[in-house]
Amino acid sequence: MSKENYGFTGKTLRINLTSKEIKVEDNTKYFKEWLTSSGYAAKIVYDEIKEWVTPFDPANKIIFSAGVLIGTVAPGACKMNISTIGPMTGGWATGSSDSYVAMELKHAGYDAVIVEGRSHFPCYLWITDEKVEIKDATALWGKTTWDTLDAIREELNDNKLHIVSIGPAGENLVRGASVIQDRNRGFGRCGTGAVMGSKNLKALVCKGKSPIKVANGDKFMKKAMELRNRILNASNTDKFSKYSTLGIFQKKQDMGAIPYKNCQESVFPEDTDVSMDPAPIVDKYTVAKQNFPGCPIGCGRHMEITDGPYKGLVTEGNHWEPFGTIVARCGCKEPTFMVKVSAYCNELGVDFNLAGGAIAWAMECYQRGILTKEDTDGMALEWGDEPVILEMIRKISYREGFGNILAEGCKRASDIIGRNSSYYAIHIKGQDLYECLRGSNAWALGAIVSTRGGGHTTGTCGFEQMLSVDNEKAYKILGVRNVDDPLTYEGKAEITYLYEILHRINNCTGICHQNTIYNNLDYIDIPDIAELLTYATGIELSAQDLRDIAMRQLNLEKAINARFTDFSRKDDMPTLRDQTEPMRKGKMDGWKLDMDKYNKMLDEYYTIHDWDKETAYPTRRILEKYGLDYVADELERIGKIGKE
Amino acid sequence: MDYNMNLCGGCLTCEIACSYKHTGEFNHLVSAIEIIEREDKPGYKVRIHHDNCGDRIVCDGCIDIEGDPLCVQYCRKSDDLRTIINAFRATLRSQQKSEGYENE
Ligand code: SF4
Ligand code: SF4
Repeated sequence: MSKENYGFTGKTLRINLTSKEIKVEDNTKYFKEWLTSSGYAAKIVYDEIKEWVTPFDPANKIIFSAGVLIGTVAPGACKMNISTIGPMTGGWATGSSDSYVAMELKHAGYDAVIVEGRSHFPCYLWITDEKVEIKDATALWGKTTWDTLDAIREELNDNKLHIVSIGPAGENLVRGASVIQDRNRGFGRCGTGAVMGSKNLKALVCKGKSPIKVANGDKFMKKAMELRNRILNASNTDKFSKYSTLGIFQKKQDMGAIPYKNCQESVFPEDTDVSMDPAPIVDKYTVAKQNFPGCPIGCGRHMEITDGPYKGLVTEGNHWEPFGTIVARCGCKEPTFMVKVSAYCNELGVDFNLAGGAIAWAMECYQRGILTKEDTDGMALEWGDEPVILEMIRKISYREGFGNILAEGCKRASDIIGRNSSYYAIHIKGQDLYECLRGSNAWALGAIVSTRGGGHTTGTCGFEQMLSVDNEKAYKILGVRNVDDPLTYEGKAEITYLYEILHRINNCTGICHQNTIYNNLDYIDIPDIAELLTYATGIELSAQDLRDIAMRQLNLEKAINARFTDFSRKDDMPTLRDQTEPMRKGKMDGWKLDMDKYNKMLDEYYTIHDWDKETAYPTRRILEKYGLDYVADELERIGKIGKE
Repeated sequence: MDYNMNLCGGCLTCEIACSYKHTGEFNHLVSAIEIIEREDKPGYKVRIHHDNCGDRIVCDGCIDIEGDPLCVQYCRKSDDLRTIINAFRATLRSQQKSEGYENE
């Protein structure tokens, strides 16, 4: 009998949808090197998926995982991860979301579910502490995620069940299909929903009563309460709790970090400025709150729109992502559109960034005469035309007409259309991008080098754009200067390195980034997580151990990309538009990326990681440092080992 | 006993904390406090289990703890949950009195 585990369950469920075989495996041996959740998933992807496998191949695997702190009172421990080889970049793909399902998975007795193969019929997984079933989902196929939740709750006769599911977009293999937990929380980016669709897997439902134990309860509870109080007492917590990520509107407007009209301009036009601030929307329409397990901040809001074009809509939806990447990106003027479009994308199970990225690309092409009504099923793609945007989202999700092209994401769509349209495709490594890459250098670098392809949640500094950072305090906590100066290039490689570590440890343990020093320097830092983990598991882990674990994982992600993609230094560059154009309008008008300095910053970034500056490949030296000799051997064999 | 709590965000941290207090393990589905989605509109209500009900713990108001019980300590809106728990404690006391259990 294996020894008892604390914090994590030590068990992985492996389900092969082709053979219908279900196995339980001991995962304890992975913990010290990979922790749980996304770190563990990276290791499984590397070890088990052969180089010939493509994202929609039945031999691809998809891993649903819950971190070691999930289910406990650790602040913000509510994020679940889904990892695979993804269809947006063709390489390492991982997405996380707030979730009740992660906690239920652990109470069912498992840290992770590895799904392999492809079912011959639509199915969903019903996982409890008593049994695991592959259930027929024929009747659910075609349903939106919202209807799927209702139908599953009814079928299993339990209206408290939580699920993660795909909508029509995932079923139709839209490259950027997301997975939705219940109704409104999305595992966005990377197209994990399409991989579920390719496996005929509609949903995952978990519930259980098997307890989660911690090794040193007294110390664990004391530390959890200390961190909770630290978060609750920090300045800005109340504001963040009230407006969530939308509270950053004015700062983004001041910084020129609004991707207006596909990043042609850097701010909302000044005359609509006041009315575009989404914060008053939250004040006006909030009807209830939404928090996830352990979170002391509680930044979610349910809203009921009582007037205007979307009157009658009741949904959760107060987050920056749909606002930035669709409302701003597509040049809209109605702030409540954010709530509408967020609900619509979530129902259909399509990622905001894919929708916003592809539609804004098409709108700019239309503006420039590159696309005409001949191409767009007769639709005029005028900026800010909300009904047209909604119709396009529908067409994307069902791969209908022109939507079938946009469903590929802006990069592939521009490759299909040609006509020199690729300049307007705002993506990194093939993944649509909402981040503005001009005017905030650490943010830009982190988003650009992200192994999963463009994104700010795997290595960016969240408050660089805050304009009010206490530099001395930041130096004390981070050990780097210049966090308060978004326009300098110095020190930004180092900052990126630090946040690559933090974000990975968050994802491996389940802690939400917003509860950590990603959001606020007074919040949870790596040494705090090390303490929580030590008390939870009884396995002594230092802050340095966690840094090593995170860097081991990052190097493995690089190796996964080396195996499945042709990414190299060329893919760690800003988009062509960001390289070429100055910022337009607003306070930052005229500021331009200095590409010499960018390249120097990138050199520095590679040097810190001990990666080859020319190719961006890891060196044998760094791989061996993290015990990845076998990875070095593979990279050498395929000619992708970095020069020392 | 059900209570409306307008500012409850449904995080279930109270459930998780309650289960820890009584079992030394985290297991929110056995806790004495249960958070329920409202059917009429978005939001949640708080149910306190005061009778034996399946494997759930029966809420004893955590009168052994001076100050706030763990469920309240871990609530984002602790003032509101405190009011609910205190109301529950009061009913508990009056019941005990009428059943002659109160030894004061
Ligand atoms: S008062 Fe005690 S028993 Fe009752 S719900 Fe709160 S923690 Fe649980
Ligand atoms: S801890 Fe408070 S906010 Fe969270 S579910 Fe319980 S009562 Fe609601």
